[in-house]
Amino acid sequence: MDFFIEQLANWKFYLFGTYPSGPLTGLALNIVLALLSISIGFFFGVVLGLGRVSCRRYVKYPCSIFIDVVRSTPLLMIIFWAYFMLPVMGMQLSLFWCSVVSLTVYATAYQAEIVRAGFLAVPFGQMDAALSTGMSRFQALMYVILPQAFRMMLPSFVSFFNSMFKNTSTVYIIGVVELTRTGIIISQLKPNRIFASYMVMAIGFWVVCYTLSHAAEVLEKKVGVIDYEAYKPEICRQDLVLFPLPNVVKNMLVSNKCK
Amino acid sequence: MKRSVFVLLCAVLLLMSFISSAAIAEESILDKVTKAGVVRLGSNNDTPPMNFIDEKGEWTGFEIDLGNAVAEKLGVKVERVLVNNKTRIAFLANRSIEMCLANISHTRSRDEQMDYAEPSYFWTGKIFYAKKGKFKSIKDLGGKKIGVDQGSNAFIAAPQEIAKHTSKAPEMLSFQNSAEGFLALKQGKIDAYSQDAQIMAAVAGNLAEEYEAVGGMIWSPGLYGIGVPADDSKWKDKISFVLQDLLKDGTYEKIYQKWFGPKGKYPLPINARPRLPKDTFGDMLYIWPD
Amino acid sequence: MKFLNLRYDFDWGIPFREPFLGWLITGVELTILIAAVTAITSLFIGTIVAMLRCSRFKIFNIPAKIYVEIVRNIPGLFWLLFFYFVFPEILPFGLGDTLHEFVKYSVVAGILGLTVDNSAYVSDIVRTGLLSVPRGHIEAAVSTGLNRFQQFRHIIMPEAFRTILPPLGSRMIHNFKNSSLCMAITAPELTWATQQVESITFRGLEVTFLATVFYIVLSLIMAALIIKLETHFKIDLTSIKEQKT
Repeated sequence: MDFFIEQLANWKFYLFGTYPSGPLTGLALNIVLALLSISIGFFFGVVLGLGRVSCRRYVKYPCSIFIDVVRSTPLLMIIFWAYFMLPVMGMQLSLFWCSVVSLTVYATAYQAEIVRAGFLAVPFGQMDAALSTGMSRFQALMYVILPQAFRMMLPSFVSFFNSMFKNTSTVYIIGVVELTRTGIIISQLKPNRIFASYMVMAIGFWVVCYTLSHAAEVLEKKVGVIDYEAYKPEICRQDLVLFPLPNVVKNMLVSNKCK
Repeated sequence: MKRSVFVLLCAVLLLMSFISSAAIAEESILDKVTKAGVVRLGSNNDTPPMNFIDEKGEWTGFEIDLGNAVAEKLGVKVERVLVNNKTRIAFLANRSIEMCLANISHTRSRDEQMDYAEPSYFWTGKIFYAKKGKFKSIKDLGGKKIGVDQGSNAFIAAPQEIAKHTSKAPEMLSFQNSAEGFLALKQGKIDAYSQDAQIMAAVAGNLAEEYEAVGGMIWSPGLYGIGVPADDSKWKDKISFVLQDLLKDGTYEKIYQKWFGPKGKYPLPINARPRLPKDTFGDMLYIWPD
Repeated sequence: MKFLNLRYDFDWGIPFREPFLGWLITGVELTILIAAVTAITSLFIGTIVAMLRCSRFKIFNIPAKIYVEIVRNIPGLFWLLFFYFVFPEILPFGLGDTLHEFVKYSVVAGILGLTVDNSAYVSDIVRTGLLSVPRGHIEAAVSTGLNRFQQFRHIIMPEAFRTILPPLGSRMIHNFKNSSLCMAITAPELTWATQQVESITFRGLEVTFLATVFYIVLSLIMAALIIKLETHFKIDLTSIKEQKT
């Protein structure tokens, strides 16, 4: 047990590295990466998610293709794309921002699916009802649709945060010194204490994830859970479109499956 | 039907954006760097003693010091870009960095993608590192498991070298960095690890006594050069001259003594300075006359 | 017309040159092998854990719950590294050294790690499936005289697996994608091969592109297969009603 306590003497290094004198590393970096990528990804995710339920094909298909492509690519591949492709395109990013970009792309696609399911879970009549009370389309979306949709999405977002937090460990492969890399560095300094340093690493991840997964469970009990598998990709919702099109244009662009 | 056409269109657009790549005619990097006052210098952080991050979280190492000296002589500031064994050449090739000191040894395939300033600033080479007394010569390595860094040319070169001595082909594994590889060596997952001699000694640290170079020899020369982007002879010449000036005025010797001299942090038994053959030139350093 | 000004000349010959082609092909084979083996093992372990969790006895359901809570809250990458670097060290009686003698211990460690990681999620999915079987069906099974094993074999399992097929399928696709993490422990699978080509030729975008296409295509095929299975196993309720009348 004493070797375990010896590891805990390094707690500062595991938690945030040599910050503020050096760069921020360790568990804090995982949390920062997850928070940044999720909050930037949330914005794009809402846009893409709304795009995917749109009935305008020039909006729907690009969104669908992006979401499906990203969702069927391993995160590691996305990271390598960002790592090797961005410099080729003339963008010189630091390792931290490179990992933020790749994690954001990943988070965007998954959050777009959460947002889509959330919007589709809002019953059909709501928009019409809101419009008939004299609200504008924007007001209806703002005060009627969005609050309901987000309420239903909340548990999914929390559990997605959980999985995203775990995914941040993947960027260790391109050399970001987050908790996994920290644990490996320490285990290499003291190879005969390797079990202890891996234990501390695991505990670090576990505490954060356990808290998050329990938060998700509590929220699920309160709010209810959306059945993702019930929504087929071809569904679109005309009533959720912000600016209605003139009929002539609509007939040209809108698919027949629209309701 | 319309949908498939749309998808096709997207695919074509994607492909077009891929195929169109431009050969860039730019002004010389030298002008760009002096104008900006900053040189982007690629360094890696996991190969002691060349460059690594110390306990305080700061960059340190022989190449860091040498790179700073070069930049100082150029009169520009350093913007440090983290590279690793896999990206150092790619970043030079796409001109993300202007200069790279990251233990890049001279190989022909690398030279196709980038250029080296002359002379090579550190003369070392690859060894097979293994437990003391386990193997007598390279011949014994046939059929064994050999680890290398992913990004090292040894992945192809080591089996070729071993094939010269024995018909049994070794099994090659590639690790993300030398420290992971050494851990695997220590745990017995691999039988030998191939890496440059001074890096292996520093990674092993105080365990170095238990390990040795198989056959006591370097099997492939590793002449480290300062990497510069290809096809820019003005910039390449400038860096070469600056490096030779450093050799001439003793700055290089000071840095060398700090790291590899008898009182240095990692005393080196071999002489790794760039120099001309002793029997013809005496102990002359590799410097071009004016 | 130029959409992007790339500082890179694509050379599509690289992936088809030896030895790179060989690495890529072994990579594809190994990726599929790892994904297939872990899918089967994790389904097996996951089902057992789920059954233990549904048990009435605390001796069974508490350890199962602890297992799931531990595994599910730690990244898959950790399990891979753990099984590669730590697991052989803590085995008693020199078993670890025996493991190292294995020709490809990295692949074995990859399969172990992914199985552990995936089995926790699978057990969660299977458990929801088991709980979704209506109480009345089990009671009906008991009243027709089926014993416990028969109930499981003929009533509970078929019903549960029908409901959980879609989430189970997406979990397996996820597991397939996660197999790319095995490159961290030197298993020569597809992602490792692309990185190896990159590090030898310094031109990795071509192989990375091909590998990405491979992952996307195979994911989509798996997704299609799952939908096919779902429709195949679906019980057509309307036809049953017609038979009644």
